[in-house]
Amino acid sequence: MKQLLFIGYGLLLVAGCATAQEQTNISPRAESILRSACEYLAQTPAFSLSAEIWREHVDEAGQKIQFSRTMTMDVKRPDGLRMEISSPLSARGFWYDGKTLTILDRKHNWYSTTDMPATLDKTFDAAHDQFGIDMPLIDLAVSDPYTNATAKVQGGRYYGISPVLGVSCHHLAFTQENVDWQVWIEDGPQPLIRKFVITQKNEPGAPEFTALITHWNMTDRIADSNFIFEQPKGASKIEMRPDEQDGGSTNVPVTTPNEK
Amino acid sequence: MKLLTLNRITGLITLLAVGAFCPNLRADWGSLHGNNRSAPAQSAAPRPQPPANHAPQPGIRPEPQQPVVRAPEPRQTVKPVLAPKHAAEPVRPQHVAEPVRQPPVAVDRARKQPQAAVRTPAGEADRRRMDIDPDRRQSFFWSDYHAGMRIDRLPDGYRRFDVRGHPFFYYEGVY
Repeated sequence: MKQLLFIGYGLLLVAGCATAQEQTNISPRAESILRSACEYLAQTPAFSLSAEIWREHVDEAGQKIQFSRTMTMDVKRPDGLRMEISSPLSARGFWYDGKTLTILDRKHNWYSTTDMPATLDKTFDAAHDQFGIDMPLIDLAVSDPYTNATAKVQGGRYYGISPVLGVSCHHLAFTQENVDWQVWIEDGPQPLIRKFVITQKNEPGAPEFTALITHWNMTDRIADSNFIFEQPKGASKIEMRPDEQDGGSTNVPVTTPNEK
Repeated sequence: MKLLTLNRITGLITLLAVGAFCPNLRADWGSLHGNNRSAPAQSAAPRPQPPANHAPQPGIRPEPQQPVVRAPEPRQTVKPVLAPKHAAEPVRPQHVAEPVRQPPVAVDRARKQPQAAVRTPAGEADRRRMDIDPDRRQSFFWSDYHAGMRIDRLPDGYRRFDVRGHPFFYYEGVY
């Protein structure tokens, strides 16, 4: 009996230590606001959004250059995604229907399809690990946005109310080992994320990714046909080549013409 | 066959072009998910640390959740705390890092002083209202600050950051 008690105390001690290690330095208010936004998002069965995204690139001289794109995203939990990203230089579409992920390069009229797992979460993992595919703002589409966002957070703080596109928002900032990120969450009954910034602080020049979400549409249902890829006229199918870099990745699907 | 070769060449050129124009693709994630799943970034370029005088001071509380608005108390109850006129050493509060030293003012006594304007009661009241000198001379008892003092940290709720060497201050969404 005593041995069992000792084992029980030991397990409690280990669990306590593990819990203490997992504690982060997130201020209560920042944690509360982020959690409410993430839970609101997670409970939404389907949503659409429009966003303007900016990426900074640092040239050889150290100058930061910003490139912008517009994107639309339709999400149906847990197995539907459609994303369109366009700029004057490129236009890409992503379709995921619970079985396959298709990427279309509208400029070259190439597309590539590959089998994927049955959920968005696993598909994002597979797309990243196997092909190095970067789909922006997928943090909003995962099943548990809060756990995804805070998985590697070391600290978080609340910086008061700040307007984003005319909407009064809570300004939160978080730090991680590899990146810092900020989020602006609408102050109101709908805690929607209105702005999102990721700073690659360990990269030369600390380039940033910025997303301004210009339109939200929270809905109960989006038609399944929206997530099924329809081949454009004259489109060529190409092979999706696995990412060969170890841990590295690109933000474009690395493809080679299909040999038929 | 020619078409296939052409496709290969076109694809290769496209990939090369993408690589040439996007040198930072390696860590160009647009999501936390992508960043978290990537290998930890190599610290090829350590994050530049701000100069010592720009380092965040321990006294700064970066969480201006609800700034405390303190209503000023009636002015008549304030007794200005002025240093004695002929004191050898002005009394310095503990938190004053360095007093502001005004350069000596050269007074041109030979210059003809302008004639004083005719003062009407209304003009006198307006002049007194615009004259902030009495306010500047006294301490603000509720915040431990007074005009001319130099402080080694920002007031609560303010954040300072530098852009190309120029300081910016942020408070409640206002820069």
